[in-house]
Amino acid sequence: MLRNSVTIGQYLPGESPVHRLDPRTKILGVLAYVIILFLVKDFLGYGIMAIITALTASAARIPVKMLIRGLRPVLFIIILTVALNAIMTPGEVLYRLGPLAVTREGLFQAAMMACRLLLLIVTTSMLTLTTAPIDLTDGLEYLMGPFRRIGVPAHELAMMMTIALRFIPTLLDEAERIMKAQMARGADFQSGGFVQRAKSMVPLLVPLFVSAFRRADDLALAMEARCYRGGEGRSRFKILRLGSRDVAAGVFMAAGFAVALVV
Amino acid sequence: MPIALENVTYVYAPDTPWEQEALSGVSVEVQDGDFLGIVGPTGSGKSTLIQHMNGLLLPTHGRVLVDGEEVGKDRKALRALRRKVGMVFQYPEHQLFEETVEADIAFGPKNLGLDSDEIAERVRWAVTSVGLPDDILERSPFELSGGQMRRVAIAGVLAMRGTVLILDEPTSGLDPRGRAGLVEQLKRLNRAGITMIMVSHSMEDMAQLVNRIVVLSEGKVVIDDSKRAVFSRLEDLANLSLDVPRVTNVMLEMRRAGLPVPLDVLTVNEGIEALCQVLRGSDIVEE
Ligand SMILES: Nc1ncnc2c1ncn2[C@@H]1O[C@H](COP(=O)(O)OP(=O)(O)O)[C@@H](O)[C@H]1O
Ligand SMILES: [Mg+2]
Repeated sequence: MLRNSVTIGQYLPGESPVHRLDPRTKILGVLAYVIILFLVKDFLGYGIMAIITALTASAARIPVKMLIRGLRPVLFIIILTVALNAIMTPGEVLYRLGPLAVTREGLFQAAMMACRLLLLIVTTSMLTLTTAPIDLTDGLEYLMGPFRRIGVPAHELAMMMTIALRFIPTLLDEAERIMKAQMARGADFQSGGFVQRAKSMVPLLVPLFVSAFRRADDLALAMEARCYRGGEGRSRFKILRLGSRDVAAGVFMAAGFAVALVV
Repeated sequence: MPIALENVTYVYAPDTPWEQEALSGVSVEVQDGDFLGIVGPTGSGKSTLIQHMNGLLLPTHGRVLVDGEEVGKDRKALRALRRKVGMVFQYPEHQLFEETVEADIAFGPKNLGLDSDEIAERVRWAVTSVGLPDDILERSPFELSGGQMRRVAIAGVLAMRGTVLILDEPTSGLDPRGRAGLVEQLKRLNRAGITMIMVSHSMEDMAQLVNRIVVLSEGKVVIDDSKRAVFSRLEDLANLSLDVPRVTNVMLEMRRAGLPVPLDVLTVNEGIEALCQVLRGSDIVEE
């Protein structure tokens, strides 16, 4: 199933303490995490960061399988980065193959890169796994609020993201259905060379776009029928409030990040 | 080409939090020339079931035999199977993509590697079979009415010239006339020797078309019997929130009101005849 192989942007409903955190806490936490990840320069630091991730994952009760599944689609990028780092970094040569040389520094760099990417992906996917899309965009809208003054369309951006997240699974299902329908007419999406395969996508892509536009039309109409006219003066159904849980999470993260930076 | 599902269980998204057993231990048999109807509430596994019949889904447990061969043993056989067992999905008009109706219907035959004469011949045959005029071939499928698009899409599957045709709710969303026309054409295709399997919510369609009905509920077969036998089990059907044809209901009401009419009446014509007979036999008419 197409839908089950894509974990990015997927929400895993739950009642864990992490699920119940204010989305803003989680967004800022992940943001800080990513920044620290790029400041940390040694394996001990990565170790600490990995511990923070592991503790959060277990508090969120996310099965390890889910996290690993989420890595599959980006595995290729990780391998490519590691390989490039290993051969492109100048330094003490360990192994030579024609014009390519694997250096000690290169290997070190590659290992660092791998740690960084793995932690980055796992931790960011944890954000979407534990936060309902609506809460996520709500949080983003709040956080972007102050930038409205300099012309950032906070509400519109948040609404666009809500809609995009909402429709990813729908369109994946749709793609699967169309693919099956064309397969029933003898279409072959799997074999052939690159050009052949690209061509074979036409019977999938045309109906998919047609249906996406139809859905967009329907949605726009439905929103207007309910008097939607942008964020101006729009009241909120759900008001975000920081609680003691968020303070605790903040302290935990601050402590973790400080340790990771110092060691 | 008989199709047999033996104790088929199908699980969507196994080993994830979204795991869902859509079929549990389903056994169904389809003989050559059959017109099998599949009914059941939404989510009972009807669409999942039919996708096993041409290898679009392979059972998690159990097996599917087509012509005595187990489906899924090798990939090449799978493609051959899909040629022989045509599948019209729900809202098939959503799969149209070509610039002209002709090119869209020709998509299947082209994938079979046929020569252009044969393709043209099949396109014309298919378009006539679904009751569309020839001059529609040059038009864009996207400018047609919903009912016409539906027919074009069905023609696209027919052009594969399979010996079995599976349809998932083919009449849903059509106006009464479009529906009646389509029912008529499906009947004719079955008479021409194509084995038909149809999922439908419309008991009217079932009454007119099928000879056997399988009732699914929560992924299990709860009834598998002849059409008349199924429609006579009114309470069982009501418990599954399924209807019987309206004529059958009218007969039931008349019986309750004291008229000795038969209950196994499925079409309006049968109803009229049965009623006339009862009235002639009694003295109500003479009064
Ligand atoms: N692609 C899919 N991925 C996950 N679950 C699915 C998928 N398709 C159907 N299901 C689930 O399987 C069950 C049976 O669905 P389906 O066969 O479509 O029923 P019906 O056609 O009778 O309405 C439903 O509970 C549905 O949610
Ligand atoms: Mg269905």
